[in-house]
Amino acid sequence: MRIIHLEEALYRHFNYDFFRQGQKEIISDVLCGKDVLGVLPTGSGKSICYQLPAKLLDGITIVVSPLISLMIDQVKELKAAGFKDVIALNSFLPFMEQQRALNNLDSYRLIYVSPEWLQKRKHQNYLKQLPIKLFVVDEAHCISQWGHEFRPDYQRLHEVIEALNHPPVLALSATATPDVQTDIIHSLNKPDMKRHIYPMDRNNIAFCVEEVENDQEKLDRIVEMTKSYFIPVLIYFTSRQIAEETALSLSVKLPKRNIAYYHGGMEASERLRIQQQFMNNQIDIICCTSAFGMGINKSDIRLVVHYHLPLQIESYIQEVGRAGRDGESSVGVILYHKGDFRLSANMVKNELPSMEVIDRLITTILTCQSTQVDLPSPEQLHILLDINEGAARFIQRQLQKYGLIKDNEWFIDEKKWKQVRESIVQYLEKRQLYKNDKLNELYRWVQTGDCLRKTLYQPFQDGFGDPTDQCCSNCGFDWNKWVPESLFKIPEASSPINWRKKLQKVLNMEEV
Amino acid sequence: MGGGVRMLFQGILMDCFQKINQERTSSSVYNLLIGKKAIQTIQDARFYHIADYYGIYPGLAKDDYRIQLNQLIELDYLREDNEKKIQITKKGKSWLASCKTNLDGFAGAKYANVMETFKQRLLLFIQTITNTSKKQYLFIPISDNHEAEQFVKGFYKQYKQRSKEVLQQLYKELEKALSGLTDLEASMFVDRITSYYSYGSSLQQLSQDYQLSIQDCFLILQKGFYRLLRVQEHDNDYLMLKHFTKNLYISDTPLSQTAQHTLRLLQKKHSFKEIVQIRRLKANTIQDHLVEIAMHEMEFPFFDYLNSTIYEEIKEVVHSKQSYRLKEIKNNVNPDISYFQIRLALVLYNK
Ligand SMILES: [Zn+2]
Repeated sequence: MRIIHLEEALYRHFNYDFFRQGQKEIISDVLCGKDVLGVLPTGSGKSICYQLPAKLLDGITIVVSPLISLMIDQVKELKAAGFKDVIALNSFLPFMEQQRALNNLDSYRLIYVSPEWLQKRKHQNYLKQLPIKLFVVDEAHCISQWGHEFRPDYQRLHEVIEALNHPPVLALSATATPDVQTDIIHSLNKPDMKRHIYPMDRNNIAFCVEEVENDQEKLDRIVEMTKSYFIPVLIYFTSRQIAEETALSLSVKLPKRNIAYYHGGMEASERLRIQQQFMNNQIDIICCTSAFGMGINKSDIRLVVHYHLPLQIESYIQEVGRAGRDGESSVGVILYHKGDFRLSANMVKNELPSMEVIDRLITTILTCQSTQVDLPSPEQLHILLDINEGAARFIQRQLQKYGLIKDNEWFIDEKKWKQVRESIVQYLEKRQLYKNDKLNELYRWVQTGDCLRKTLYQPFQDGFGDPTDQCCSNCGFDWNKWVPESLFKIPEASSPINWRKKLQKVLNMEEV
Repeated sequence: MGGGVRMLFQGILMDCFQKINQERTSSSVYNLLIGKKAIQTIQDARFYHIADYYGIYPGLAKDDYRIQLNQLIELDYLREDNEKKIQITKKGKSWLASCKTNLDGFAGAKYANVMETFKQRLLLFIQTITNTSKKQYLFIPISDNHEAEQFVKGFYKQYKQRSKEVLQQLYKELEKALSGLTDLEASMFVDRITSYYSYGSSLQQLSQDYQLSIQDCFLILQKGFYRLLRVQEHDNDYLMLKHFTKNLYISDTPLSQTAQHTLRLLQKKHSFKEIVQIRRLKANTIQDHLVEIAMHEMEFPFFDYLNSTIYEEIKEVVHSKQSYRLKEIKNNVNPDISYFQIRLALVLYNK
């Protein structure tokens, strides 16, 4: 009788009529208390796999999620959808709010936490008091060093699971190769985990790679593509500045279209406005960085253009996967020129610190310690060094691993440093090699003459489903044959003089 | 150049520096705009008659401020001397004169305690009532401010049965209030509102739509809110808007917590020395409090700390030197007169 019960529950709590592929199987096992690894393609509604159990289980569901912004978006959406007893806990929460939440944890059903937050003993003690019925590891590929978004804190999750007295575990990912899957199970220390692996290929997305001569041509191509299609479009950039500039140039060239940009450097409330306008079809084209899209449930994005490529295939699959969640024909376009590889290689390089930088840091700290000069705390080591966030995090983790940082305090002495330095050198080289390999893999794919669909999914699975529309530019893609339904009308020009009319609309007044 | 609302931000900067007349560094105006709760800032706002700009731009980034300032310096409207003090040039003065009228409409100090909350409450309420009256109960709120949420919940409960009436009344009040602005200002204000019909424009979008800088857009929106605050205070036709200021205390400038504590001791007739002992603070700190209190309270016992000879002497120097600079005054009065006394005298002088 469980099946009928589940579908009813799905409708009652989330207003969906049916489960998507894999959801019901995973949820059934979760409700039976089994440990489950679920690999579902992007855009297939992974989160329902724990949100529905959270509603049905008689206790609390904890979700570990790697990205704070994603977590906050999800909580907002759940609340908007009527799921009120949910909260996101992370180190950015103002102190008072955090205290209020901690003292009332048992009033929530679903608690999102960041892995960093979870590492704190104090926080674990709060959680230990709760009846935890499900422990979810979202984006579980972050556990694996071979996953594209390796997060060392994820590797310590098995300790937390043990501290919480082994609640059932659900690990979810959209991009886990077979190697990564094995790594996840191993790292969580749950050898009997039940695997639910579903193919990740998206048969309603066609893939097009277009080589151009320079950035100007990229812009021209985007104008050409978007001029005739009145559909929701995402354009991905790796640089905030270029995303902004392109949005502005596009607005000039396409004055009747609503174009905006979106990136992590914008204020949260401004980002929310753009995101919601896109959902409401008030905006048709968004120039964004990878910060966009994580929590977005817009199902009718038709075209995803990559002005810049990400740094590995897995990220590409995730980003292009935001297209066509409703199953309708959609297209992913990659625009690239010869100079792009160098740009990407540079970004890869900056994601990790150089050994010179680490040495310099240690010397600085040793000097400061001997002269009793005040030091910034390890969490602020980017103040000492001019490096990016990822590189700073790498240094923190490594020093933590060898006990040179404990509880956000420095514990550095020369002798100890000499002992561990070589291990860090080796690990750094290993990570550099790995990241370069991933980048090369992506560019090999972009330049392949073979079917793009086949080669894209090859590392992850055997075979793929037949495309519902055209396949890819290597199999022959014809824009003339792609006719998605137009979603936007050309907006009527409004003049400031008509503000009263607008105000009437805004306040739901019938027009006088 | 100069016409319309273009360059509003620069206009305000120029106006401030003209009024301060080279007596303060560039950061004093930054502190004023973000509404820093420092005694110096509050005092500046009063002395130089720029209190209307106090706290009108709370989120202003220091870099953006500096960029604007540098532009004005490059245009030779302003000059920065070695001590980082800013002076307005002749060219700057005539530029400013040409756009003077557009700088009105702010009431920063007056509504410093009220503005943010009022804004959040009003906008969240409009989003809530327009959605629910269309039977749309699920939407992502424009603000996750806890206080505003609680307020709107209570207010909404009270009025949900009469949402049509409420919307009509709100339209009437907003229409009337916004009519006091230019069409452009009103239009921008309406575009920013989030409702069932549409999610409000971001500053970036307004900046594109109206071809104005982001800062100018932000300030124009602020002007709109100050207008709403003013009309609801002075006119009985704005019952709805008045509601959004409920339980908010409108005062000219906020008195800091710690100064309030000192004020209570003062009201209990404790002497200066006793207060220093009771609060275990430095005498300097208590003096700061007293100056702050003197600015706020109608009846401050100035002459417990000054006598009329001292006051007259200070007044004389202010007149002859045409300056409020403490150091300059100090150098020109009897050496026995303290900085504290000069500051108090200046407060009294401006009352
Ligand atoms: Zn193909």
